[in-house]
Amino acid sequence: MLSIAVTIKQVPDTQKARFDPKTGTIDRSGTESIMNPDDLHALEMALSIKDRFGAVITAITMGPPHAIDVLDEAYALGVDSCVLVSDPAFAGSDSLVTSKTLSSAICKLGALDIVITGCEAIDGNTGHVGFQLSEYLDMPLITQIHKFDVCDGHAVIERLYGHEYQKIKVEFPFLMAIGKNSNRVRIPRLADINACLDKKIITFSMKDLGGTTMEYGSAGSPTVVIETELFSHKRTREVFSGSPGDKADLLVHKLKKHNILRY
Amino acid sequence: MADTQHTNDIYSDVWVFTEIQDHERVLEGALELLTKGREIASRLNQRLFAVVHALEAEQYLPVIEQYGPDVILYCSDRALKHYDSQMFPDLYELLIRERRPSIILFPSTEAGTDLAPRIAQRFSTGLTSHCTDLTVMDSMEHGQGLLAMKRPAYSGNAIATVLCPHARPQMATVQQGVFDKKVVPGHTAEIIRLPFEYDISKLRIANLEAPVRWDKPKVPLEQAQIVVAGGRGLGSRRNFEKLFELSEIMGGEVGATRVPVFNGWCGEERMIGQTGRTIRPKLYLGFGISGQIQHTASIVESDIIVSINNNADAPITELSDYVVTEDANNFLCRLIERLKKEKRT
Repeated sequence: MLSIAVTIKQVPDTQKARFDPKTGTIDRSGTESIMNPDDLHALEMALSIKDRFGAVITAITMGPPHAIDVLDEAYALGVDSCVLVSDPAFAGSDSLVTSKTLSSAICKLGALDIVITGCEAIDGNTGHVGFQLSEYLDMPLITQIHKFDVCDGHAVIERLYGHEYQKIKVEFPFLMAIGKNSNRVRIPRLADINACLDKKIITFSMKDLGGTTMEYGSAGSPTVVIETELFSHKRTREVFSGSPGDKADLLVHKLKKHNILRY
Repeated sequence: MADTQHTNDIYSDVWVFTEIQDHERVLEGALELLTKGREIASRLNQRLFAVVHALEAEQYLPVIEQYGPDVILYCSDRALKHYDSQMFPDLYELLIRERRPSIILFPSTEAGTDLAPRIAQRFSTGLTSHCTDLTVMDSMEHGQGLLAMKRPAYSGNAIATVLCPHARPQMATVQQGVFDKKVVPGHTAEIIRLPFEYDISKLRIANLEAPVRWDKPKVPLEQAQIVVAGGRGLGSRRNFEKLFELSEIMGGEVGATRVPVFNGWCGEERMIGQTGRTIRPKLYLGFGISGQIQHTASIVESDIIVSINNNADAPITELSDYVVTEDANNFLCRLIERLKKEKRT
């Protein structure tokens, strides 16, 4: 039986998020929090491995106490246990410290065969964590996976790498980063959604991971955000009027004037 | 600040990961970073290094030299034909420990976005991804001569300025097309060949079959003069496909926002945006694109922006030169018709 950990993250739904230019933060009131989309695909990868080869899956998330919602969702989808990594000292972590904190937590889970992450979170868009977990955990990272199999105690994976389509053999343990193209996410059954709320969630705080506040959160982060400004690139905004045909004529006329259309 | 001065004495010089694309040419984005790196190095009074690992690397050196590096460090070996996520970080790590650069810039390519976070971890330093501007900053609070890195934040609603005050090297990735490349006339560089030493038995991923070449799009979007892009507002794959007809007539390329890519109307290589491509064509035509900032941040350098959208107040109209308030699909059909007629006469 394989042992799998999946890292997931709760993010504000950025399609609906409002930015407060005064405080330089996301106004979270009225913004729904959701599971990061890529992480749903990471969970699906783990669940499909469980379906095919048998596995025990632990979902792990780092965030404030309300991040527990995404763990409930993971339970509903079919994971076996859930861990919340949460401590006030973790607030303001940049991508390096996030990777470090998550990897310490993953190490506490015991021997693992596979760690699965999403490629990228929609709130930060750094895409660093998968690569840095690979470094901290000393596990090779496999991305852009098209086909996955287990045979004779190792994994056989077909993946895209640069401009090549490769079939590779990888020894356990290793890491996979999963994006939206890798699979189609399942929908939890209503009964599972109801049952998930009673399930146990383990919490790791800074005390469990060890170290001091200087190593975590903003204090431990090598990067500092010194300024945040609203984004504006306004232009002349000439609005065309008339019938759709008139507008098409006018556009063609303008493009000729700019020497873009030359016939 | 005394602390920062000390750091600046130990760590000096600006490096650019000078990536070779498809083992046949120097990546455009690397040349753009050399140009930006030149500016930063001169401002800091430090040297600019181009670092090249490739198969038959010598052939690329004359081109690289034109873009102003003081030193080219290169390593040439068969094993370096493609980027390798196990080998390259090891080679870079040794090189950085030995020579201690203060700043390293990487193109935001598949290779650059793999290499940079790995290096950052090995040196416990910061990395700022997908930067849209790089300057040198003297800060009272954080120190002198720091790399100020701007990047979209809060899902692109704002631009954050990020510093890495104490850890070194300071590192940034930048998408292709963000900066201009510029030849430095008559420039010569010191050229240093590095020996290739690597224990291949360390590698933990083995190829089972000969890899197959995977086809890539014909013309990179970054280099297209005209981009006709479609978004959610086109409504269906069938409507989206008309963009290919329009791009054919106009001599352009088709781009997309996240929704068409997500729905499989076109491939991911056509996605324009913070995690896709940054474009700066002569003309950008946006059909049914409302203007999520992740997308618009990557088109603002276009000479002319035209938006076609049924919502007169869509965010994209703010940064448009011309606004057409119509159903995107209807207008697309009409424009194709109109241009076909134009061509006939």
